[in-house]
Amino acid sequence: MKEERLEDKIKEIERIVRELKSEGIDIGKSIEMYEKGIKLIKEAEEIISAYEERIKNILEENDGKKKS
Amino acid sequence: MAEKILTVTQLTRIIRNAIEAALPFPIAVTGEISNWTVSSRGHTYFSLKDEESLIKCALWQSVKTSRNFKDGDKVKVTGRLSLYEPQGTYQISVSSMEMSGLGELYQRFLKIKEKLEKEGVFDEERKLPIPPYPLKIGIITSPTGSVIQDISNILLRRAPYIKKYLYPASVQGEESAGQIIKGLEYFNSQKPDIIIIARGGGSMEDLWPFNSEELAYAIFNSKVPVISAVGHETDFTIADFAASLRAPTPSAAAEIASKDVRDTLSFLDDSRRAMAKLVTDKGRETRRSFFSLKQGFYISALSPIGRKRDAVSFMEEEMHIAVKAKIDFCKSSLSGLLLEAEKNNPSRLLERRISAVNSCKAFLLGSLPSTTMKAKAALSSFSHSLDALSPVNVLERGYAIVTKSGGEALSSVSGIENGDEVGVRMKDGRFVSKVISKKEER
Repeated sequence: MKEERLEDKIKEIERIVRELKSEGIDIGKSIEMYEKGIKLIKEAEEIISAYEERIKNILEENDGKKKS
Repeated sequence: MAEKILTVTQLTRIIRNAIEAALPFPIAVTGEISNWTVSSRGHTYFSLKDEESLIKCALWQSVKTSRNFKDGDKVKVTGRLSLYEPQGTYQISVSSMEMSGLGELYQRFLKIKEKLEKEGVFDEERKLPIPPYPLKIGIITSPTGSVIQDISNILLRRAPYIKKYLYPASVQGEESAGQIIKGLEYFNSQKPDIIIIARGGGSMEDLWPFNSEELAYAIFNSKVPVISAVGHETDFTIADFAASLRAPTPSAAAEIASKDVRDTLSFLDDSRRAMAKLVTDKGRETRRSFFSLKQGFYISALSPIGRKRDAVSFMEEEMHIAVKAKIDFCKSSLSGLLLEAEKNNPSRLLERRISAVNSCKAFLLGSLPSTTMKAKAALSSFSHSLDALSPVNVLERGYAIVTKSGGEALSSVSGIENGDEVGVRMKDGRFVSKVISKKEER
């Protein structure tokens, strides 16, 4: 479930980057979007870290079983 | 010329010197033995002969030979030729002798050997390996005599756990080869780990059964490895060549067939250690390679998520850059405006006004002195005129000013009455006087 959400977040961040790069957008709006982007990035990084942790745990658990 | 006469001794000496000088030392001669005679003192005397000649030989007791000889043996002797003066005979003092290979049996032996060699009976690559740790050994030999005893003792001492099976066989004479072959057949059905065929030393005739072609084939075809131990170290038989292994003596066969139990135990100990080390190393190696496999797996498991992380970081960077660009753009437009505003700054206008005022002031200040001078000059002329009219100046000329008591100057007598006190001011002082009389004039 989280996986899709990560993809969505990344897509959203991509969209924000694209818009921020466009000329038309006004500064107030762009700061708003920037804020939103930073928030999304933080969330995405949390998800990523959780995944990494999970992978590590799975491997270590397996290792532990083998040893005992 | 007197005839020269020699004594026997003199002649013999000359002959001896001539013989000894003429012959190399040592000399080697071949021939067939005859008149083999061993003296009571252990010396052996015999003759060597061929078809036409004969020469005497002496084999002193101190000289050891590798085997027993007998009449008819064709031998090669090595030694020196010596003349025995008391008897006037010459002989070879033998220092060593061996069969020359010219004996009849030896000829047959060589023929059989050559034939079997051609047939591949002696091929090394066909020989069965001797198992290093036999548990059962079949022995084919005479049940009587020292051979079986020697073998038993050695096996018992070195490897008491080995089971010994004896197949009793005659090891000499007509029956012998057949019995030995039967023994081989028996043990090929019983399947011990090794078969030993053994016999003690003896003459070539004695050992002849072991040169049997049939026996050689039986040994060659045996499915159980055969150790042949026939005669002494110097005796070779066909059986020896056909066997998996030739032992120089029966005792040696027992030693070859059995490892000393102490060696076995230490071998086992070494093996256990080596095995433990190998298995530990293998385990360590496996663990190492598993670890790197795991690392690889870990890395590849993380790589999709790592790519996401990269993408996010990259986008974050892009976002920063985009926003910063936007802000920079705003800043730069703003600073353009500021520049514009600066140009039209009200304080500038004010400054301009102030400077205009200042210049007016300077102008005004500059024009002031001339005006005042004129005024002063006018003033001064006025003051002269005023001075001329001043009453003070009249006083100088001797006039006085009369004032009422109130200080009011009197310019006519009309205001005064007799008895009034009036003030008189002269040029150098004043006094008060009383009107005594008054008279109007005109």
